[in-house]
Amino acid sequence: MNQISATFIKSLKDNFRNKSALFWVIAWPVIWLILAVFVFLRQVPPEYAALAKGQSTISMITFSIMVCGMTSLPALISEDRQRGLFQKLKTMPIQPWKDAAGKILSVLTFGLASAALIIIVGLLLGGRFNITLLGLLKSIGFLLLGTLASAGVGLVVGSLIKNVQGAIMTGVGISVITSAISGIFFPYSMLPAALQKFSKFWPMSSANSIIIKYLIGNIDYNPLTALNLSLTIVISLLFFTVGVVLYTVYCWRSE
Amino acid sequence: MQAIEVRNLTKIYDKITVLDNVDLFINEGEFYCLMGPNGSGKTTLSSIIASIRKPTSGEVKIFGKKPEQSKKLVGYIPQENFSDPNLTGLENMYYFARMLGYSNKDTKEIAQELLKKVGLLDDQNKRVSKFSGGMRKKLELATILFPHIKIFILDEPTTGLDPAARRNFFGLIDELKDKSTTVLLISHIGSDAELASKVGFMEAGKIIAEGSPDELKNGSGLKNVINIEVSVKNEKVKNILNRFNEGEQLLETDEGYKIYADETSEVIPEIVRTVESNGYKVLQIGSAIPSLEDVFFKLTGKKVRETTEKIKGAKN
Repeated sequence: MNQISATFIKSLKDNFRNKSALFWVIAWPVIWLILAVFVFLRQVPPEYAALAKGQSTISMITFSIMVCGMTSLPALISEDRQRGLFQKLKTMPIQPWKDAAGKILSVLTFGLASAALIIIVGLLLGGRFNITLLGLLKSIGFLLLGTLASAGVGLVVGSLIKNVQGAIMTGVGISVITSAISGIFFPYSMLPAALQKFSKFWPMSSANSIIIKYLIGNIDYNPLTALNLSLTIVISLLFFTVGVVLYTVYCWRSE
Repeated sequence: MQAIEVRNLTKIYDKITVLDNVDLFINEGEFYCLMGPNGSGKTTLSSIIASIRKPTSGEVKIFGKKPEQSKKLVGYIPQENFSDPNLTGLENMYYFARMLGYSNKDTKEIAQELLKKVGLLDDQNKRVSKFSGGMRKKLELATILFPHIKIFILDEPTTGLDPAARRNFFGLIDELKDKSTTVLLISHIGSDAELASKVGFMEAGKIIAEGSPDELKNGSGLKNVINIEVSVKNEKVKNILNRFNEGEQLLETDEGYKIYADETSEVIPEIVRTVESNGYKVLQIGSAIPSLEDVFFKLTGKKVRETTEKIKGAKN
């Protein structure tokens, strides 16, 4: 536990002291949420406005969790590698999975802190949710699954891209582009048919739709089919497993 | 007891033999310096001992066990600064203490104790990004001073530090290391190697000579070195100075040249006369005891540091 908590605390402090991470994980989703409410949702009829704001709030939470895993995690990894920390850690009696677990938990905590702030902003802007206890619990489960999938992508990016700025920009690029084309920034119904298919395969978008279905009720398609749920779970776990394997191989293996 | 045993160690990267059947034995409590130019294999050797890399063949033992089984006994400082600049000195020490298995309760006490040892207690709450290069190295030194660590492996730990900060760093190691602590220092700087009780010269993946600094110097046959700074550095000056270089190669340094001579009292005035009669000005000249870098040059004909350059074919 010592090694997990040591890495967790170090990584969490690194995240909260990294201006780039603070911008992409916290400021950007909040700005986008405000824009959504005051620009894009102005035409929504008043009876649907509160739920539409709630839906945007959920999407920004998903985006925040996604950018956290895909950007903050690679930043942590590439910074540690660039300054030779892995060289040092390899000489110490440390189990690599504990280092990975500490980093992933820190990213999860950072993302959840951001999610809490986004919920507050969403509620202040008039967002509303149709919450049931079971729906909330299932939503938390799928949010964690989305975190694992994002962390998996982040581990892959951090393991393969050695330059810190390169790793951050790749993570930001994947998060922003996939969000834009898979129904996180814009409604599913506005996407072309090919991207609608993509949004069902891309686990973060799929998890987002599932959470919206649980907490808002109305969404353009039914994401709660057995196939969709299974795909989301399997692909998320696959991303995560690939990420952990690559991280262990590229960052921890003795040459 | 032998702290480090290396037998028949070979490392091949992409068909290039970086370490060629190396044997190395370091006794407990010994301060051993592995000295050689870049690419000689010294970092590869130390990283195999520190279990960062794996050998192609051969065997390494740390107190009789495989390196992977002895990690708790080894404290390693790489060339790069590995401390986290976003954290304070104390937070960095907390991290390493917890990673080494110290409980939450003991961490603060040991972290502060070690920071005190390296003189950073007053700066414990300052972010490392605000530390000077010397302070950062001291912090990183503190990470290997945990009481259970018995072997220090220091891979060019003073890279980037000025000479004063370097001496300070090694002064600290000398003060802080326990008598039973074994030190393996990797360096290409002769003055760093002087601190060691034993020095191994490494060249092209092999240890080519080994002994105490005095043994190596006495065995080299070098008596004196004349350091000379002339108003210009060019081929003509080299040719003039070559006449005084007794059977050795002339070495070009950042400031001027080095001449190896047996007797300096008579040669120095003669050098000054000859140089000045050719229209050049001698800015500075003096004799010195040969350094380990000079001994390495004498043995291999190669410079240890890139900052000094051998003049090819200077003496026929």
